[in-house]
Amino acid sequence: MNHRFFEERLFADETLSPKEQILLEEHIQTCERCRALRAAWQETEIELKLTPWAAPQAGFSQRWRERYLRQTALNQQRRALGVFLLTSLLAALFAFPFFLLIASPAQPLWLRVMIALYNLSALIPVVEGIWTFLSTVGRAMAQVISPTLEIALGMTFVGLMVIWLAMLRKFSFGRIRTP
Amino acid sequence: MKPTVQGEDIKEQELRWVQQALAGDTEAFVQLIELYQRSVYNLCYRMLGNAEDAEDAAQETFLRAFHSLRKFDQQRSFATWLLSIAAHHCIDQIRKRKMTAFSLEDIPDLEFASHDPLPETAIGLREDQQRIQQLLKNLSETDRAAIVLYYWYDFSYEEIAQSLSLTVSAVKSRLHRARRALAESWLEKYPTTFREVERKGYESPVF
Repeated sequence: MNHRFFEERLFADETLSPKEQILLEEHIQTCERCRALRAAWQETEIELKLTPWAAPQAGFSQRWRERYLRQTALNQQRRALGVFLLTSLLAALFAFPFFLLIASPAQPLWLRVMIALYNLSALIPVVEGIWTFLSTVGRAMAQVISPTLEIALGMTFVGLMVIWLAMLRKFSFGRIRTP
Repeated sequence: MKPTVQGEDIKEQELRWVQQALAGDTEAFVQLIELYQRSVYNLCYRMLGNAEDAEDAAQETFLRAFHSLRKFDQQRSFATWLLSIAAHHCIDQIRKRKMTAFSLEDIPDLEFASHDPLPETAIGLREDQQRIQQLLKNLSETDRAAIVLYYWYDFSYEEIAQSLSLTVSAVKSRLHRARRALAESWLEKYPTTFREVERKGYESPVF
């Protein structure tokens, strides 16, 4: 049996057979390294067994209560923000085809009525202006870019939407940690 | 003597608190915190090495436990389940520290969060805490958790395996490796202690 065999036995939990124990003792008498390791481990083990438990400062559970309430309030705020952002997204998605119709040259009567209602709001002309600009740019680009690129842009847009929804889910609806 | 939670009465009471907490009673959960705060804090302290991080990790452990209470199998020991959450959280924290190239050596002097009446007792305890933390910090996070659970909590191999999501043979091998590493660190840090032991044990009484 070589040195490594005995060195392994110094840190094993299993009880050695009487014969192995004698051999180990004989080896330790002649091996300085094993002697040192055994003495060091004996000291360390005593230290591990005798070192007292660390205790938290008084009022630990009260601090937990406060942390829990803080976290609950923060979760509620984030959820509210999440609902707002999700609603905004749905509204934007709904408005997208609507504004597309507004921009088209042939507008049916019902649509003109809807536009008139929209025009009651001061913001609508601004939004309409932006949309007109964007749709003009879009139409110009559609004549220039190839259908493949158009599909790629569409896919990118869908991908960005998916990422946006994932981030929304993570930061607004997921459980959060308080500092 | 190391505090442990034993006895059927406590276990029954503990289960009642768990069930009440599951029904939304936070005060019942606070009772569980009162019962286990020291166990959880000590584990976090041994793993992270300072009072501030230990407090934060222990608080977070109880929050996670409260939110995951439905996942707790009531046939299992609540203490083992709770300490498992604490150990995993501390392991994650240590890995995050490593990611940001932050080590225990960067932490100022280790603190001891006990309430010792006598200053000399406090100093003695602080020295003990520091010495053991210096040794523990040389171990990998999982080895450290295995050593702490084995020596402070008297966990069996099976309980450690369950707590750290390892196999029993992996636990044995990690404990073996950790013991060797601790002994080697001890030799490096306190070579004089060994020489004294050696002199007492092997020198001729004539000299």
